[in-house]
Amino acid sequence: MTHASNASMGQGESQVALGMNAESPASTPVLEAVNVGVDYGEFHALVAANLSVAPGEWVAVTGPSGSGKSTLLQLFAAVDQPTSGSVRFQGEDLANRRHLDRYRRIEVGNVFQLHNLLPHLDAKRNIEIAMFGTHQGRQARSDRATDLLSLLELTAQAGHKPPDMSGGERQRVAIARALANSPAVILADEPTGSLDPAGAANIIAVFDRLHRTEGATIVMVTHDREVASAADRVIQLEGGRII
Amino acid sequence: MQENARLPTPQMGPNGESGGLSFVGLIVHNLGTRRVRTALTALAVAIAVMAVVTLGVLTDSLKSSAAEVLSAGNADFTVAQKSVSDLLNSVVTDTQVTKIASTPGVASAVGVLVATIKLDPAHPLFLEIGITPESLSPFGVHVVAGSAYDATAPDEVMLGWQAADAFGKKVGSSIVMDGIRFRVVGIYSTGQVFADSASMMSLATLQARERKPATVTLTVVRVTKGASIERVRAAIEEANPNLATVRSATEYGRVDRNLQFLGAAQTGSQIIALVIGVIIVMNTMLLSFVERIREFGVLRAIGWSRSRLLGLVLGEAIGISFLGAGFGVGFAFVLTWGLERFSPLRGILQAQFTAGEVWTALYAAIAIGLLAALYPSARAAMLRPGASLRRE
Repeated sequence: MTHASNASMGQGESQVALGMNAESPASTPVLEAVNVGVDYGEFHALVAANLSVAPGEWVAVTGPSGSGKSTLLQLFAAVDQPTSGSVRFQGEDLANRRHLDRYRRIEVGNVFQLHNLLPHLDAKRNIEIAMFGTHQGRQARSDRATDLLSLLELTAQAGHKPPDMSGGERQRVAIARALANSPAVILADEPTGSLDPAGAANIIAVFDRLHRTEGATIVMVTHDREVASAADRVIQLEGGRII
Repeated sequence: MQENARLPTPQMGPNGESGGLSFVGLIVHNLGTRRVRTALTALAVAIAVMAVVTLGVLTDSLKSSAAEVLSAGNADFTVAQKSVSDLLNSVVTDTQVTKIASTPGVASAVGVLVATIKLDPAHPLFLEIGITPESLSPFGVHVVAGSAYDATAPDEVMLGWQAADAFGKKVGSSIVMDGIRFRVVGIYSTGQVFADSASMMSLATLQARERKPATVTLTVVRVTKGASIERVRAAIEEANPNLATVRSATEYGRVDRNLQFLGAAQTGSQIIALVIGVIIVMNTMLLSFVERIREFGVLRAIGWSRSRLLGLVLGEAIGISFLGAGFGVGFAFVLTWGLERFSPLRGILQAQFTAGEVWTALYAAIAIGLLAALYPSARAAMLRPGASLRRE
């Protein structure tokens, strides 16, 4: 896949300040999984997994279904807690964080496999609600959402609700939502899983651009080896273990 | 990275709106998106509010209507038997009336006998007032047509103008009450609906018919100029331990326990209406919560705090409450309007909607909304985002 060539970002792309929060010193990993295990009853979703993600790095996590890819990503997103081991952000154990809401809001940007946009809100509002709880006012949130929609070539779709958009458009809105608060890391769970090859290429082109020009740190889960090959590093999971 | 380069600020949003989405705007939007659910939930709140407001209005109306009997005659206060179950069962003897009249400070004391009969199915509680002709004027009765009845005439009656109007009677007509034919000799007005919807006849006639010789139901007292009403009341109560004086509608319970029971029944019924409302609305909100678990999970996953999610659900509940309050007051108004015109209650109910009723509706609706939303909103706030996102 020629990622860069597929990137068809709008003219406004270079004018938008994404301001990714890549504040972590080069020596300190942005994200770390240290001997992480996750058990669902008798089922071991993750077993003593260790992974370190450096600032500005694009890591792809691959593996067959049920291998623990999404579980690992959800630990990084702090939407789940590990049964054992620890998950660290910029060296700090997330278990010691009092306000994981803030971590989820500011430090990481989640792109879900099924976009998880709210169907009753239009594209712009779906982005704006991610900025609730920040210090940005109404107008600033609106401006930011407009900028991000422009960056992802979705200006025309700003007033469209998810059911009225294509799969690729929905996923790009989800990426825009993930970028809303200029996170340090983008966490993408099968971002191309529900898309056709052209749509998938477009999404990967977006990530490629964010990674190259904005220095975005990306952790992307995919079962597609070709998609994974766009990343700096590919991690293989199988049976809950990193191999 | 070109950190300072930003696109021009749009003046209008893509939907033609200026500015962005506010938190309150999101709440309103959510309610508008789920119109049917919002309307049905608001309807449940409205029905409970309607019950609370209607019960309050009706009870207040009954109280004030009943208390009008006591305030007849431009009296300073009224004397009746203490703590009877119903004012109509009060017995004040002629001797006591005389004793009251001789109390220092009393200018006049008029004994009045009050009874009810079933005139016809539409008027099951038609009021008869027995009073001597010479006491009519002090009692505040104005004869507007014909003349007053004779003190010794057993078949003469006067009708209040509302009663005459309702029955199509005029001076010279006859009316059968309790199997006895009376001749309408006059039409009167007192300015009070209760009395103007009743009949008046000679005290002796009514005493004979009711087999209550030498007794009246209540005594209307006026004090001499400059006398202390409270001192006169105290003197009368001290001299007549089984009697109570009543000066205002709020004191009515001293002589009529029914009204106290009515007040208690009203409070109880209102609480039951509120509880039923809370249960219905909570059920609807819990169903809504289950349907929206994934939505809440997404919001938590993108960084919404528990308190913000709590605020969203409670905010939606308050929005529904406001809608329910508005509809509830409207429903209550229509219901009481209909009841006022329901023939057995005509003349008894005089529902008055005041600002107090609107506040009651608002308080009741918000109480229902918040209590009903408390559990669902707490569950929403306590959701674990990971588990919520895995939910199909």
